[in-house]
Formats: sequence, structure tokens, C-alpha cells
Amino acid sequence: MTSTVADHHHDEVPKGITRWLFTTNHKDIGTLYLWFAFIMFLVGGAMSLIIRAELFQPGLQIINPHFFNQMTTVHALVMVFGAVMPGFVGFANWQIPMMIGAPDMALPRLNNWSFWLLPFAAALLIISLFVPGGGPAAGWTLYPPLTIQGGMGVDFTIFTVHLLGMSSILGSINIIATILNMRAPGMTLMKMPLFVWTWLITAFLLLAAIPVFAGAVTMLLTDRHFGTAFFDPAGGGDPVLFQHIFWFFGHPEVYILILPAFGVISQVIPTFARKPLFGYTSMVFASAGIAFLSFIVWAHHMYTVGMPLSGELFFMYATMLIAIPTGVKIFNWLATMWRGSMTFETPMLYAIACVALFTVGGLTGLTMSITPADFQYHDTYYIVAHFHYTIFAGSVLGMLAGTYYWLPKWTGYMYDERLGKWHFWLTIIGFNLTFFPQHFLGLAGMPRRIPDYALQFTEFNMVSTVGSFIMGFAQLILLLVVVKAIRGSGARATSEVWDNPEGLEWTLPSPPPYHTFATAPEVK
Amino acid sequence: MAANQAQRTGVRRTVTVLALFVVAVFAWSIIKYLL
Repeated sequence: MTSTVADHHHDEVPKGITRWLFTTNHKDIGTLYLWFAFIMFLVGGAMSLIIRAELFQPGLQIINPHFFNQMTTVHALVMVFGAVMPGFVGFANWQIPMMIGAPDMALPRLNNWSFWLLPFAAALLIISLFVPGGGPAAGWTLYPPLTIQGGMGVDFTIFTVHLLGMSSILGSINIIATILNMRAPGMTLMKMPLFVWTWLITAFLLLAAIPVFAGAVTMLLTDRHFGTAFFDPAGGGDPVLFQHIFWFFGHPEVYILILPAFGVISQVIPTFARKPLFGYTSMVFASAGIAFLSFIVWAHHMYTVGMPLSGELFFMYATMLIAIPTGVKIFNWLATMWRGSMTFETPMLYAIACVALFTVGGLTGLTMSITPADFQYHDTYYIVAHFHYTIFAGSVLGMLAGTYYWLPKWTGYMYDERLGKWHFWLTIIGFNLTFFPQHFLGLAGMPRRIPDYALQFTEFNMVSTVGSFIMGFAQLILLLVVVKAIRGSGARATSEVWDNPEGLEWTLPSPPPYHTFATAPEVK
Repeated sequence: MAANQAQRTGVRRTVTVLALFVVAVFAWSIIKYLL
């Protein structure tokens, strides 16, 4: 792949606060998204530490049960909608135009609005904790009848979801319009970097899933205030209907969180294995296959609600099918590494950890797809362990791999490799200490979302809490690494940064000029 | 250099189709339970 580098003759960077308020530049907006996600990551992380501190030993010692329920709910909402999703939109903003040779996103002003909806949405959610009745406490799934009975904090949450949904939808439309229309000459769809492909698929998932969730919470709102009874049996409604609608959104949401991470990993591993990605075409089709399957498996979250045997069988087998495209991806990453000249800089460490630990989460997911087995696992800590191995080990580790991989490109300076490795090892040790014991707790019958537990669960909970504080502390190292790179305390980064990486972004200087690819590069 | 005319037309067409799709999915996710 060859290209011509940008025409940099007009590269005035606006100054002051107005630069960030009114910016239409994809790099600025990407930076805003990434900082917002990181702040939300710390806020959600602090909530998880409150949860873990309460669970350090049996009995109630720090917070009351109602506040505990608010913490589990808001922690999840903040992490899913405030940290992981905006984080990957930040990556998309920074990387997609540079990777496809476009001067910017297709709709720059819409891009600005997509971002600036987020702080207001986050503020609404956090404020909900301080209104009479407190914040939402029904779990991130917002199931009625609890959410119909909840205080005004639930209304705040519904409007939060509406705003976040609008932001995601506008962002997705922008990403699709950019990828389909703004590619450089010669950049055919099947020449696009995997990160761009996975984001294209993710954006379609968002467009199909988010409006359904918006519909569900709108019905919740009308049930609460406008006399409808969609989910109220007293008026002929059915709370199980909400579960079906929620999970029709909720399961694709899992892949919305993970597919961009797969894209990042598919960029990082070839660079540090010094080999082209194995099975590019199969990676594209596997991503599309995962996206399709994600829409036909939603009721595996609801086996214990009760459904016809044929329904249980369908959802069980459909869920098991997801292992095939996911297995294709894991095989391809391993095959890329096979006999490669591998080196283990921090991005590669995160990428390998992501593949290994996500596989643990994938395998426990497979065990839960089996309907009769799921009756044992349902609503236990086994589920909590499983989804943290997919969402933290998959999405967040993928995001961290991408952060270290592209940070020198974004800032123009190499990050501190020693601190990066400290961050990596403390995160990985803390993560496994936190979540691996939770498999055993769940199998032994400890239910999730409770502030107190039986004595026999004490030791594993203590280990889990210690691990969570190690993991939480480690994220402050990430902050230090990023601030040091921005302040330019490391070595100057070259254009390529790494050893002969693949992609148009590496043809640009580090940091790239404010406006790039004003003249479209030619891709051969 | 901003987007050229062909790109602008393509973007406009893509946005129109996607926006209609989103509105239809949102509306249908509620209306089907009212019918």
C-alpha cells in the first residue's frame, strides 16, 4: 500500500476553549471522546470499588442495600454507555479518516454534536443519584416492574438513555457515511484495515439495536407517567415483553462493545508479529457473521423466564453457533502470531492478554448457552465473572492495546514503556484476582446484586476485593503514561512508530498535522 | 480539500437512507405493540 502524504499548507490550530467547544476536526473530537471515556472509566471504576469494599466481608458495613443496588446499576450504565462505547467512538474518530485516507469525517458538525450530547447525558445519570428516591437501582437492564415503581432517578436514566442513544445513532450514521463515501481512490472495501471493517459492522449494529432500546425506555416512560400499560399486567401488559425488547438490543450491544476491540487487535498483532494478518477475508465475514447471529440469540438471557422447549432449543443452538465465527477470529490471530518475529511491547502484551482472556469469557459463555446448565448459573456470580471476562478482557484490554499502539502517533512522543508494563501486569493480575474467583462463587450459588452473603463465600470475596483495588490503582498509572506522552517527556516518535506497520496512518508524521489528506492519497 | 461533489451526493444519500431506517425501527418498536 503506498500513498502520498498530506498537503499541510494550512494547519492553523484554533486556540482556547472554543477550539474544543466548536471543533469539527476529527482528531479533536476523537480526543474529546477519549478523555470523556477515560473520566467515565474512573467514575465507573470508583463505583465498582464501593461495591467491592462492601463485599469484602459478609454483613453490611459501608453502604445500605438500596445504595448498593444503585451502585451496581449506575456502574454498569456508566461503563457500558459512558466508557466503552464513547472510547471506541474516540478511536473511530481519530483513526478511520486517517486509515481510509479521508480529510475528515463526512459530517463534521454532526460529529461535534454527537460528542457534546454525552457530557449532559452523563451529568443527568450522575445527578440521578442525588434526587429523592436515589438513582436507578433495578440493574442496567432496567427491568419493570422495579423501574415502573422507582423514583424520579429512573426518569433521569430514561432521558440519559435517550441522549446517549441519539449520540450513538448520529455517530454511527457519520461513521457509515464516512466509510462508504470518503475512502481514498483505490481503497476498496476489501482493502480497508480490519479496524475500519469492524467499525462499519458495529455502526450498522448500533443503528439496528439502539432505536429498539430507545423504544423500550420510551414505553417505560409512558407506563410511568402517561397511563399506558405496556409492561404492567394490571393494565393488560407484560413485564416479560420488556425483557424481550431489552435483550433484542442488549445482545447486539455486547458485540457493539467487542467488535471494535477485535478490530484493534487485528491491527496490533500483525505489527508486532511482523506478518500480515492471517485470513483477512475470513475475518471480515466472521465479523459480519457475529453481527448477524447477535440478533437471533437474545432470549438466552431469559431461559429461566420460561419459554417453549422449541424456543429454548433454537436460542441454545443459535448461541452455540457464535462460537464458530469467534473461533475463526481467534484461530486467525494465533495463526498470525505463529512463527512471527514477535516482540512484546505494551500494545502486544495487551493484545495477547485480550485474546487469551476473552477466550476464557467466550468459553464460559458457551457453557451458559446450554439451557439446563444456565438454570444453575442464572443470576449468580458466574455471570458476573463471565461478562467481565468478555467486556473487560475483550473490550477494555483491546482499547488499552489500541491506546498504547496509537498514542505515539497521536501525541508525537513515545510513551514510557516501563510504566506501560507496570500498568499491564498490575491490570492483568488485579483483573484475574478480581474475577476468576467469582466463577467459583457463582458455581457455589452466590447470587449477584446482593450487598451481603453467606459466610462460606468470604475468602473468595476478599481475594476479589483485593484484586479490584490493585486493578483500580493500576489505572492511575495509565493516566500518568498518557499525561507524560502528551507533555512530551519521551523520545520523539517517527512517522512509522513501530517496525514497518501496515496502514495509511503510518505514512503521516507523528503527531499528524491538524488537517490530513487534504489531497487524497492513492492506494495501490 | 473538502469532499467532492460525488462524495457529497453519496453522503447525502447514505444519511437519508440510514435516518429513515432509524426512524422506522424506533417507530415500529413501539407501534407494533399498539396494533
